[in-house]
Amino acid sequence: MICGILTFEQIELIKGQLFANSSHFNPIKDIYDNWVIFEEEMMCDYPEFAFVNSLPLIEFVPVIIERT
Amino acid sequence: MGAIIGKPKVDDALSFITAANIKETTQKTAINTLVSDLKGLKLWSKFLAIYPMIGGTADTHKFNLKNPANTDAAYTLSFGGSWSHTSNGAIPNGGNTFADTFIQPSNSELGQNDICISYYVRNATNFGSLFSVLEGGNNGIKFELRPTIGDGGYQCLNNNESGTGDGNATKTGLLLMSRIASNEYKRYGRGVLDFTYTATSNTRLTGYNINMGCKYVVPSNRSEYTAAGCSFASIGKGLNAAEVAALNNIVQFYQTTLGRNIY
Repeated sequence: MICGILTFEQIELIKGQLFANSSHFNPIKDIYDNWVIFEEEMMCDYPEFAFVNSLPLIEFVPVIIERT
Repeated sequence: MGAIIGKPKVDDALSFITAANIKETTQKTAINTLVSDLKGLKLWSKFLAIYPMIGGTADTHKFNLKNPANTDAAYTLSFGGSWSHTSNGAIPNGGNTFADTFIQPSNSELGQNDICISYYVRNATNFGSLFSVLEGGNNGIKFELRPTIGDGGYQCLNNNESGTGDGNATKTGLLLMSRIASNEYKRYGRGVLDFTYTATSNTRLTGYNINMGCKYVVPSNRSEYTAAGCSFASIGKGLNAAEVAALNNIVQFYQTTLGRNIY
């Protein structure tokens, strides 16, 4: 699964904001400590968040969860 | 299913169809029948929220059939992350997707020993949580799906999360957990009992909302995102085995009407 890497400044701009009707951004950390978002969030039409359409792309590697 | 017992009102179906701007005749018929069947079998009043996941967009999937006002107080879903919304329902990506239901376990319409949650799973592709809200000590609600691992799951319904050895439970169709007793709760798949959990209920978690699609440890830690596509979901009062079987038949007929049943 492909994701886009965010800078800290970009995270602050989008966190909790709508990227489409009834849908808001949810940046998360990958296993390498990158903050990322995914495909649908990167297709945002709102001009104030146009930068998400051209984020650097990487393959998503999730954080490994230890179960106890 | 489809037979109407008594004379149910269609106002609730019409309210939802109008709010969600449902245009297709088949979809309108499916909603009308869903409401009629739930009322006819006296299940309608059991639910606080029913999410029919119909219409193919976030704007239609978010609505609660029981109260289709577009407000948090009506338990309208708020989607976070990159969900795909299709005619099959709301499809999470297993990476960062969740939906806030705005329903707290302590909701006055529910009870410590009177709660049921359901999720119609289309595809069991990864391990993850279908519904959850947990405090640090793990008291709360967690409804987990483990598609490939047979060594046990971690579930709870107003009790402390713990390993349970239920990894071989049903993976697709209408999955459901219901508590109607203080000392146990049950997990059902496709209307059939999968597992009985012996677990005494605790005081219900308050101040935080049940999340769909992830493990949610309050106040803000989300993980274990599921990729299981959702074609129906509900939160309401506890159901007994006969009620679960009836609900399963109704939901399965609903999915068949829409041509998206998975069995």
